[in-house]
Amino acid sequence: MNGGDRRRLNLFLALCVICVLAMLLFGFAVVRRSRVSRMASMNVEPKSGTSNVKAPAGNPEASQSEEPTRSTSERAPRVVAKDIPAAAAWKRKPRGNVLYFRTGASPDILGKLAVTPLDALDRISYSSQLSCARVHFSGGIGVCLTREAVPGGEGRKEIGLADLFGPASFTGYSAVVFDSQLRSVARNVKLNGFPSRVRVSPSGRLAAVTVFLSGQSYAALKFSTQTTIIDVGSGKILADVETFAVTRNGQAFHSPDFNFWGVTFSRDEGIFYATLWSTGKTYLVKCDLAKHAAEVIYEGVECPSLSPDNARIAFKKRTGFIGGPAIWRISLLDLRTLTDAPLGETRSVDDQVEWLDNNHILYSITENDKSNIWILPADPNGSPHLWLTGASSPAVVLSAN
Amino acid sequence: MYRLDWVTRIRSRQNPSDIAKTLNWSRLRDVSPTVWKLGFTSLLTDISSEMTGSILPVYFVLHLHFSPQGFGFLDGISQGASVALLSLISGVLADRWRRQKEVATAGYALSALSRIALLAAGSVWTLVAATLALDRVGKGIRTAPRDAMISLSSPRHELATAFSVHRALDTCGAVLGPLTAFLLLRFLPEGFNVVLMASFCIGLVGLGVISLLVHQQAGPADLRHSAPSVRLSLGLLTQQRFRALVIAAGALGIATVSDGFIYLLLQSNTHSSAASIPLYAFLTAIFYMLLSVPAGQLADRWGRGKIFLSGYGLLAFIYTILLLPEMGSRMQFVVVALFGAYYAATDGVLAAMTSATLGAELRTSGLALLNTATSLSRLVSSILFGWLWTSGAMRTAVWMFLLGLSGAVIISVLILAERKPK
Repeated sequence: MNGGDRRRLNLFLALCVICVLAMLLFGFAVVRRSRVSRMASMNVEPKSGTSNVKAPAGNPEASQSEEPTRSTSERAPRVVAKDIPAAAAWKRKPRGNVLYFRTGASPDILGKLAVTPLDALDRISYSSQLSCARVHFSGGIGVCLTREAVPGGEGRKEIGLADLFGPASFTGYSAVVFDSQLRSVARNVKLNGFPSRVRVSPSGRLAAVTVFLSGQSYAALKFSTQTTIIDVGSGKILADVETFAVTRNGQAFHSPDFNFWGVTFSRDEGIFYATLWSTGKTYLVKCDLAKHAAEVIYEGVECPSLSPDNARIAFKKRTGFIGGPAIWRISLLDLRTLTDAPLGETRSVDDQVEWLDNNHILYSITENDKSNIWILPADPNGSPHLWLTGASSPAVVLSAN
Repeated sequence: MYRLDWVTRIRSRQNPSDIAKTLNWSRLRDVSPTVWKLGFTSLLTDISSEMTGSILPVYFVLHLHFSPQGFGFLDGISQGASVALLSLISGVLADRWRRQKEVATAGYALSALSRIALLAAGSVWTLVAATLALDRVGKGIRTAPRDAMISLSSPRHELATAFSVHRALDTCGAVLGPLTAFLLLRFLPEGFNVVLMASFCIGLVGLGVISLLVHQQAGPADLRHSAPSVRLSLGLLTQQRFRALVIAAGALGIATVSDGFIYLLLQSNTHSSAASIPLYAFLTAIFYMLLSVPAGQLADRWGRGKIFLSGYGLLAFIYTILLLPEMGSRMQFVVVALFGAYYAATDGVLAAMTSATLGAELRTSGLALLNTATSLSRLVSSILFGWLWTSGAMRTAVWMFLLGLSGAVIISVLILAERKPK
């Protein structure tokens, strides 16, 4: 009996040693891998770190409308790496039509903030060292949701006890405001949870940030969202959309389980659309910041995105069964007739789309752990084409705008 | 007349030296090594599962690119009910096969396996959901056989102490898990895979403790009776003392507001940031861990029923605090301390009370029956409270649960006091 005990004890000790070794080895491997890809993303190598463009093969029409001057040559992105943390800016002010986006190297690395001229998507891109979970740019101002400490803001300085164990604990996310040359220009805003969506208003004065709050429990996953409107210049939180007075069919509509997310700003300052969730249903609400009011105008809309002419809303419409994996179809809502129709993308898209112009939308899809930006004509008969690989969170800035 | 004479007995006993004698840490040396080993198994397993649990939301959203709206409203109700039934089946089978250790080990193995499976599942939605279910199934399967092992290796008069030691270690894991994950992610900001791997390894060591170091005790294996049939297991419900416990636990369970709602109420009543909710859970666990052993020892000296019902008295007090119109922010700490004390006074003590009413050969079945009754009644309470909550009647909901809890405590006092015919 004693011998058996000893043998078991030895076996147990061996198990402990093996487990500790396995943990250490795995840890080292991950550290090495992430260091390698971080170097790659800062280097000039186009393969791993930065985005790469493929011409939509076999579709001359789409490539003409977007990129008449696409060359097939290997792209040599000039990674400026003059990032916000280093406080050194991109020397040249971007001219013409540009795209701000987030590079997506691998799932282990958060994407970097990058910018590229729309007419040279495949040739040049400038990326900063700033990692962003979400990015948006409008009206000369960009907002990047990041967990990195950025000088000049309240990035990560004081971590209170609540932050240590709060949803922000592992993240410590804040919203960093930058200008067209990727310079940090205003106070950073500390976020309450981890990033979901960000949008900047056309004037560049307001930003809407949606974060996920979560209560942790044994295995139950319950999420709630918080959407705040921020004054970009001062970093002040102007409103939590949840405090808005909501009306539906002219009557007050309220429930403690309200969740708002996915804001899209109208050209009229202070007017925006968002998704409202309550008891299993999603609604499209039109909100007025000055009045702190919101009105339900349509049902079944998630992550709305207003077209540049403000006449239509592209959104993701949930299909699939309740409780199972969600399948979202990109659909288009006409705000005048209040009718919606699915667009020509058959895959599930979990993104807030961005309008390239009044006739095309952009969105990212993650496939095989890599996210790419696709382009889709804004009519039911269009078909999607790969637009930019290794990228997500597109924000289009047209100089004529 | 119902026997409520213990009230007077407490009064006559209350002097400080007596309490000092009751809370005797050196008595912990008498706690069976099996209980300690099972405690460490739970500690390691809890570190492992809380590590994973605390990073899951971030992992899903940022790493796997799942949208919470797609994932978060996963139907927890049917899952909870099926796990409760599964744990009943595992308890009955463990008695029938007289294999508590093997069944419990299988439960721990499933949970450990689910960590590595989560790592391997990648971003395939169905696989991820399956691994989470696997973890819950493992937890459902192991609880009753493990508690039976604890009770079978402890003397009858020390049962509550034994359970309290186990629960303190278990909760210690719940405290250390999120901390470990937090520290790992501090050094490796995107190291979710490292956390999952570490969680798997820690779970594996926990599995090693129960499978290699714990002996199957001489309890039921020694009884050379025929294996108890399923009918005999379910027939436990006809035993008056056991049935009284199940009814009391079920009634109290229905009137128990689930943790999440308590924390939500606390957060909204004190106007604190939403970020404080996980902190409440963490602090509650710390208080539970610290108070568990004293509560268990008191229960063994003064009577388990008294401590158990005083625990629910504390819960009723918490409800009352939550109904107060104005709460200072310091009240948060008072409430979480009371909540930790409530757990310390009820969880392990109930297992001890149940074990004391059960014969060795049906111990696992009995504990499983009680667990199933408790978890189903908690499920009912969550649905009820959630429904009241969403219909906007928050204060009414708390009022109703306070009334319900008072009723359940009174019923429990009556039926539990009645059950000792002299």
